[in-house]
Order: sequence, then structure tokens, then C-alpha cells
Amino acid sequence: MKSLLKIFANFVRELGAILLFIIQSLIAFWTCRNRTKKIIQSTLEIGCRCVFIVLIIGLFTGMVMGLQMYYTLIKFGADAALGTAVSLSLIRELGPVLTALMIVGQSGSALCSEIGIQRNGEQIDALETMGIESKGFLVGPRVYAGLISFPILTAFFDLIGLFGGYFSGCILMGLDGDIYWKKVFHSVHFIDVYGGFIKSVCFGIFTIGICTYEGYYAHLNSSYKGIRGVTQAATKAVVKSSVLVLIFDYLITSFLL
Amino acid sequence: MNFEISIQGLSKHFGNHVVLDGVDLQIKAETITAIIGKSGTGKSVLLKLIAGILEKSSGTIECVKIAESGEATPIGLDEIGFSYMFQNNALFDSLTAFENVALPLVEGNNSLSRLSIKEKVDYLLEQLDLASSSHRYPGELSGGMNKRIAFARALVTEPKVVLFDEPTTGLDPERKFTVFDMIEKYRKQFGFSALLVSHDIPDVYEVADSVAWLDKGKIQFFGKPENIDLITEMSIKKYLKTGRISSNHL
Repeated sequence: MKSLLKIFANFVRELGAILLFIIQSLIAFWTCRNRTKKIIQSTLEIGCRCVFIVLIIGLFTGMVMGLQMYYTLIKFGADAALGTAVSLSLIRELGPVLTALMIVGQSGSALCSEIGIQRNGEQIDALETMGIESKGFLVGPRVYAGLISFPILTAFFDLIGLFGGYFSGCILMGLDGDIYWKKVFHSVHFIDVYGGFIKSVCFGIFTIGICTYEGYYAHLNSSYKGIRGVTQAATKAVVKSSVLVLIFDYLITSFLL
Repeated sequence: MNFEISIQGLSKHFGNHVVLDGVDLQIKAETITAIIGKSGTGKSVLLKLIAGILEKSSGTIECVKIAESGEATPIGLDEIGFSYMFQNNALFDSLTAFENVALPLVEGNNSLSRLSIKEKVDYLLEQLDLASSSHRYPGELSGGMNKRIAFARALVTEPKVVLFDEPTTGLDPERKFTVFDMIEKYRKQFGFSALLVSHDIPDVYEVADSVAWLDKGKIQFFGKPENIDLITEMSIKKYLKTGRISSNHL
């Protein structure tokens, strides 16, 4: 029981440290120059890296959803509700969560490694000696880019997922396409899109924050020094981000419902 | 600007491992102090403590601005204006040579126009035979060229104190003398003080006003380069002899 409490206390303490790190980086960013250029570059970096994988995963998730839902709903003679089932599952839950997990795997690990290598190579120390706020310069634009790119990529995921559902449900299984789209437009309300948007924004801040935090403090938080420490930090970043995405998904859903 | 940096009883330990154990050192304006010593004796740690990259365990590092009347006012090293040249250069792989040198001016606290920044950077790159490589990335350049880029970046802000951590390691003899010449030239031009960690014995004596021998966590000798041969302690004599032999072999 005591060790369980200790683990929980460490978890809360680390979460607090990450939150503080994110806030410091977001504030410090405003002391940097060429801010718009930095945000655009970082957004393209995160977005371009992930757009292809997000589209592929979105398409196949929608297709699987279409098939599974079709076979389930047809048993109850409710196959016309396929559009509703696919769209609500994607927009409320699967879209934000799977997109966040994809970005963590694709961009988050790369981001953590890049910053960890810069820590090892003393570039971060060099920035500080030049009078440049390293958190603002390296982390700030990435977190803002996460804020922008996560909702956009989630929207891509949702849209392509809906087409995936249409493809498997209507083109392959023969359901009427008009009914599918009608159900999609009738059942998706503003609150559903809003909920998905809130989730993607939160995931964007936290996952990018965790990945950059692990890279920035790779020399302190890893048991090894050098490259091995960076790889350890990248692994930690991906695991922590993925777990936190699922925890936050539950928490946000329970607040929204 | 006349100033003085006074280091007293400076200590640094990592866990139980004591690296510096009561270092005393005075750095005056417009002087070059070479810090020599065996590898692992804490020369780079000393520079990092002065730059504020590492936290000291104990001791003081004080900077004072000295007015013409002789009145001394405490001042931060940041206010004097300092730069640091790292042992492994610490260049950004994603930036070109030009962008790396321009970084402290582009992102730092100054009001220079883009044109003035370009002129300054181009001038330094020209001086260091890097003009034709200004658009290339550090990964595409040799170790010696990267060293010179780091050197240019350290000088581009015209600092009053420059901390050089082995600025000539990995350079061929000709480039090594170019760097020492540049240090001498820029010291005259901008009037900076330099703290120079180097293993290039006796070449470093050519530019240094004073030499500090760091060993066992303390400054064991501090004085003019010409007086270093008067030292009788065997460990220093052995080190200096080895340094001279390796230098002659180049």
C-alpha cells in the first residue's frame, strides 16, 4: 500500500513537473524572435511527418468499423444506422485517440530524440550562453504546433474514416450510400465535433509536452548517459504519452458526457 | 570597459566525486588566461561554472565593473557580455554555417538589421576561410571547419569575455595558428578577455598573458608563460615536456 502511494505520488509530481515545463515553454516562446516562422515550421514538421500514416490508419479504421458494425447491426435489422455508429465512434473517440497515438509514435519519439541529442551535444547549453531561452526556442514552437496540428490531423482522420466506413458498408456490403451519409449528417452534432476537438487539443499539448520534456531532461531522467540515455528517454516518452492519452480520454469523456 | 572577474574557493563535486576543490583565480579585462592541465582535471567544468551552465557546490564568482575613479560595482557576467566556445562545437545540425554563426544575433537581444547581421557574419566567415561553405550544414563539413564556425559564432556578438574550451583541438597546425592569431587580433580589436582551455603547449603561450595550471582540483600555478619553466614540481614538468614533444611532432 505504501509503495503504491509512493508510485502515485511520483506520478502526480512528474505530471506537475511536465505541466510546469509546458507553461514555462509556452511563456518563454513569446521572448523569441520570428515566432510565426517557427510555429509554421514546427507545424509542418509534425503535420507532414504524420499526415500519410494518419490517412492510412483513418481509412482502414473506418473500413473495419464499417464491416464490424454492418454485421452487428444487420442482426437487429438496424443496418441503416451504420452511418450513425461509424461517425459517432470516429468523431467522439477513435479519431482523437488514434490520431494522437499515431503522432506520438511518428513525431513524438523523433522530437524527443532530437532534443535529447541536442542536450547531449551541448546545443541547449550553447543557447543559454547566447542569451536565448532554450525552452522557448526549442519546446515552445513545438507545443504550439501540437495545438494546431492535432485537431487538423484528427479532422483528416475522421473524414477519411467516414469514407472508409462508406466504402466497406456501402460499396462492399451493398448498403444504400444515401442513407449512410444522411445518417452521418443527422446524427453528428456540434457537441460531438466540439468534444473531439477538445480532446485533440489536450492530447496535442500533453503528448508534445511529455516528448519534449523527456528529451530536454534526458541527461537527468535516464539511467544511462549519451545516446543510450536518449533512446531510453524516447521509449519513456512514447509509453507515457500513450498511457496518458487513454487516461485523459476517459477523464475528458466523463466531463463532456 | 574595465572589469575584473574574481573566483574564490570555487568547488564542484558530482556526488562524492570532487572535481574542483577551492579554485582561486582572477581574470582582468583584456587579458588572455590559458588554463592547462591533464585531461579530467576539471578545466571544462571550471568554464561551465563561470558561464553558469553548471551550479557550483561552493565558493564565489564575482564580476565587478571598475570605474575610472577606481570604484568597483558588482555586475553580472551577462551584463559584461560573454560567449562560450564549446569543446564539441555545439553547432545546430539543422542550420547552415551562416545560420549557426548568425544565431546569437538573429535570436539574441539586439537591434541589428538583417543587413548588418549579414555583413558581420560574412566578414567573420571570410576571415576564417569559410565563405564558400556558408550555405553548407555542419554535417557536410570537416571537424576543423566546424571548429571555425563555432569560433566565429563565439565572436560574432563582440563579447567582452570569451570562454574557449579547447578551440584548436582537431585543427591542422596552420589552422591552429589562424585561430590563435584570430584570438589575438580580435582581442586587440574588441578588447575582450579570454579564458582559454588548451592542450597546445607551448603554442598557447604565444597568445596567453598568463597561464594557470589546474591539478587535483586547485590552481597549482598561476603566472606569466615565461615563468612556467621555473616550476620544479615533477608532475607539471612531465606534463609540459609531453605537451612540447607532441607539439613538435605535428
